Amino acid sequence: MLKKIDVNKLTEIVPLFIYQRINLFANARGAFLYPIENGYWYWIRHIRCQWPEVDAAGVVYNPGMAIEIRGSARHREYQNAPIPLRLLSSPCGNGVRLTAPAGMTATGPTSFKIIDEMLPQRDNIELYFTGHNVTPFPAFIDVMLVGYMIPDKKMVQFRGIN
Amino acid sequence: MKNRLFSQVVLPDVAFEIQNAQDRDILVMQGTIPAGSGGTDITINVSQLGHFLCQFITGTFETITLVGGVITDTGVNYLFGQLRDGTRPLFSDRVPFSLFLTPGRRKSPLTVTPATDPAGNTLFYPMELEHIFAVNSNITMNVASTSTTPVSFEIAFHGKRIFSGAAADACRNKARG
Repeated sequence: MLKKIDVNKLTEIVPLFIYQRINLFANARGAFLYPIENGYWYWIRHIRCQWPEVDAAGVVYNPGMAIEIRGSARHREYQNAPIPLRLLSSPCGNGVRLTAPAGMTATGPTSFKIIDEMLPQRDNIELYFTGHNVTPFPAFIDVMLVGYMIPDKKMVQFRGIN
Repeated sequence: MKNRLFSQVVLPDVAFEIQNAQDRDILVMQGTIPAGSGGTDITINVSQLGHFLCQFITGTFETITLVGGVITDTGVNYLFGQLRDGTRPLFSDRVPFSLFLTPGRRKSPLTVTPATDPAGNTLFYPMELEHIFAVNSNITMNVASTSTTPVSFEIAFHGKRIFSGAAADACRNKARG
């Protein structure tokens, strides 16, 4: 807490929040795909999601969505089953309603959950979303990754700063 | 004299020495985005005081638009923003304010029914954003709006000020290699 900040150690890592609105089609998984810039690691700290829970007429209701996180380079799934998004994300569908045209209410308080996603990524970020109904509803989901770009100092473009 | 703060012993001499070089600071950004704006830059300057290490952000915004020619609080998020350090984007795209700002929505004094509009959200855990903004640089939020009336917002950058002098010189030397 009471330590001097070393400025020199703060000049290389840069935050990058990656946002996508993902369309969800009937009977399919929605995919969040993002290629990481060559020479960088991307450290995912938090996954932030928001989707409409009730449609504009207040008729269609979706209790929740699930996420699958894949480590493509390692051929790994980072969970044993799709994770209910509410367990790791905010504000989710808490009171969020869909309004035309594709607007979402901001009634759910946004917060940052104290979960450190120790998930460095090197090539492609792959996240898959399921849980929408066959209508499909919700028709889309807003996803934002909170993370940092970390240069790989072995790469030739970064030699000299170390 | 020693003081104990939770599990840490705080030595006043050391604490004052640190505080003389690095102190808490908050930078506030305020803006009103015109109706239907395709991208309005709201900029604040870090100033000559020193580098600013941002650690968290909090923010609040209105959710108003015209309904039948009357300013109405619909609760819908109309603002999308991309944060930049100078010209370098820190967001990949413009992000809905409701997705990353806490407490988020608040009441607007501009509606015709402020007394009965839903109460604004209360502050929850702030959003993490750890980044050092160099002395005298600009922090810019490029904000687009889908509302049919001007919408206001406020964002606070919470962090520490690293005063100019040796720290600034060290950073510049580092950048030069």
